[in-house]
Amino acid sequence: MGKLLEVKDLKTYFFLDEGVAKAVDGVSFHVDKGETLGLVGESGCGKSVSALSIMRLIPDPPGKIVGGQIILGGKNVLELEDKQVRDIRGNEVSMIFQEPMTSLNPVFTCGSQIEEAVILHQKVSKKEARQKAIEMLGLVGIPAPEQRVREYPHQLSGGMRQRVMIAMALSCNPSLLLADEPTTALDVTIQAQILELLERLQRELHMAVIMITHDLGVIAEVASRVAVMYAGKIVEYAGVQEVFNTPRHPYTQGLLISIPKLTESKDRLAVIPGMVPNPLAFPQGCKFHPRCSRAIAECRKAEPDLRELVPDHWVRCFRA
Amino acid sequence: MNTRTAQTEKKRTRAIWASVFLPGSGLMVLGELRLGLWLLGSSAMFLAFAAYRWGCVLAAFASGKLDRVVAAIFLLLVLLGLWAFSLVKTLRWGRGTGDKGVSHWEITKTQFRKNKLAVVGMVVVLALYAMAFLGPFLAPFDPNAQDDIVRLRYLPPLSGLFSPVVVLEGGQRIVAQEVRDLGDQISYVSVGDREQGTSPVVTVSRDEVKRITRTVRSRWWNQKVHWLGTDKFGRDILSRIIYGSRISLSIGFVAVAIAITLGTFIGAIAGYYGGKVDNIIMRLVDMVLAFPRLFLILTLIALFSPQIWLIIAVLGATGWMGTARLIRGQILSLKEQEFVQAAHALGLSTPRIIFRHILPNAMAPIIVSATLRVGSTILVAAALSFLGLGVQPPTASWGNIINQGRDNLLGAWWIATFPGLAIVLTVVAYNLFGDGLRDALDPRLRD
Repeated sequence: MGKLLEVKDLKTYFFLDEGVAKAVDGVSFHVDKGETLGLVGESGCGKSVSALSIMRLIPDPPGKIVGGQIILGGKNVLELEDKQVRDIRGNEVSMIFQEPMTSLNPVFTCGSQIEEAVILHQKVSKKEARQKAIEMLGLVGIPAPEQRVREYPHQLSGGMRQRVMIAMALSCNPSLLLADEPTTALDVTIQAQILELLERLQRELHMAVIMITHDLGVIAEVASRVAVMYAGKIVEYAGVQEVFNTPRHPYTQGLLISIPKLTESKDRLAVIPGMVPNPLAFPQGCKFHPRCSRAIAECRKAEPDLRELVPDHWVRCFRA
Repeated sequence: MNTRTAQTEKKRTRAIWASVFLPGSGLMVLGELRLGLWLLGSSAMFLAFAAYRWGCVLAAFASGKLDRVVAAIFLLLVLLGLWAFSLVKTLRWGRGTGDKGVSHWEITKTQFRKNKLAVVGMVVVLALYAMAFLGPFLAPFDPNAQDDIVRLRYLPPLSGLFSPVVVLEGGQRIVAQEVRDLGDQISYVSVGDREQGTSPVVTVSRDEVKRITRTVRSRWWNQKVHWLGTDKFGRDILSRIIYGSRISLSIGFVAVAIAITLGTFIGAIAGYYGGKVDNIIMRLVDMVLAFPRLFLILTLIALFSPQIWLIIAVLGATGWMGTARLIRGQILSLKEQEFVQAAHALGLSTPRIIFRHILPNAMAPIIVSATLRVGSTILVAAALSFLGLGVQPPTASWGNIINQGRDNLLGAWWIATFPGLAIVLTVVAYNLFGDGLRDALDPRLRD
């Protein structure tokens, strides 16, 4: 399988009055055609910023991509003109967002929002675009799409809106979909439906997906490879089986232990002690060491590199 | 079941025919009493007016005078519009609900209707604009005519005109509307319809006049009554107010349209780009706001000659700051919404996102600030006229009628009072309308 997207040493910093926040600091990963890569981490670890960097949607100022390469289909996205980037957005790469309640424009009908992207990228007539919108709404499993195209977002439920968002994102057959916590705001039964839908569409449309989430359950269900992020860096990067069966980074281990299991009865849930570090003042050395139970003196001094311990299993830890 | 559908079909056909002949009546047949009555009432009013002044309407097209032609076209368009609207409503009855869903527009309409005062405000505003358009047909006198000053000056409200009936030696009777003393000859302008150009002037020598009797033309429907009195030149106040409404209302409307467009554009740019752009623009706004507005306007107008387009332009150019601030604030919060990011992610261009995706979401405050601003702009325009820097006499505007009444405020109170009331009525109606719109458009105030 060929590489669809390759992110090399991406650095996205936010230049704030209080200092420089290194939200993404040297992240590298790749996505093959048609596969699903999971990006996991706590809030504020840089997963969403990585995705927005791929689309070049970082608000500037204060954000800026200061280094690295994002190679999509042989072109470095960071070197393209604004116009060319706009041609990529929504066309080759699409994105769906966390909040289906606010991601649709409340003053337009669902149909017209889908049509807009189709007309823009595929240069078709309004009639054809409407046809396409109806087709897409049908594809994402919305009943009676001929009527739903004429409805406003506030008339739809959260799950329906997320389906509309997906229809919008997929209307131009993108080769890569960035899903930024697409199920976080939905209740569990709807979550499962949406994930199933995404998997089906991925197969049907031969599309690669970057699934950004803090929910390891979601990752286990859909991803083939996982990148675990902590404080702007990837700390573990491997196949999904590897990560779940033999996690090597203490952070990943902590995340997996803190998932409650139905088979065991426990009084308290296991937690990772401490807080996510402030991006303006990351700790010296390994950024995880203040919260790590296995930290040694070396961890406080120097930051470990990402090492390939086993083929295709990379870990950023001295103790692994 | 079948008979029932047949019955509704029959009812519908009847309603459609009713609507064809009498606007609104079809809707009443179908049970939409309120809307039907409204349409029936207003079209009856306009129809009656058109019938009463039909001669003027025809003469207007023949005369080719712009204001008359506009008035005639307006009258015909309103009648046609009411007829078409009621017919479409009748045809669509019972259809269109259900599959279309409830749009923002529908919700706003029902909310607005609940606020009775706002509806009254809207009706008054519409009536005022109708009055302005129909001015030439409504005004009983020529607003600028100064004939027979001695006889006509300072007539109090409700003065009927005493027209001398002149009987000539030959037995001919002239009901004279106007008497012009030409020395050894006298010319009488007989009562006729001045607008239709049928007021023959008869000039005779003094010897030919046999007898003059004075008669009171007191029938109430007779136009020749100065309902609101006359000013010091003998000009009819009501006619001047009607003609003045064209100036005052159009200044209010156009100046606000300019101000809102400018303010929205500038505010949107400042709010969206933020940072330095925002800072520069908003400091500029602060600077302009720091000037006393009236003083700024006076200076600008005094520099040039006070012409109506200049007054409109200046009022527009000094009224955009409030809107710019308002819109900037709206855009600042709207641009952080996820749908804006989603629009970016779809590859839309920035201007398209600002003006097509963000601005429609800020439409409610724009509309509300526009309607509320019209009132204050009309006030400023009136103040300008009052100070003598507005529309120049003899053209009537509400402000300069008040100005002329100032000389004799105690002796002839009616000159300044009635245009003042007209201003109050307009401003209050606009504010009620704007308030109602705000309540209807603001989702937070909805129950």
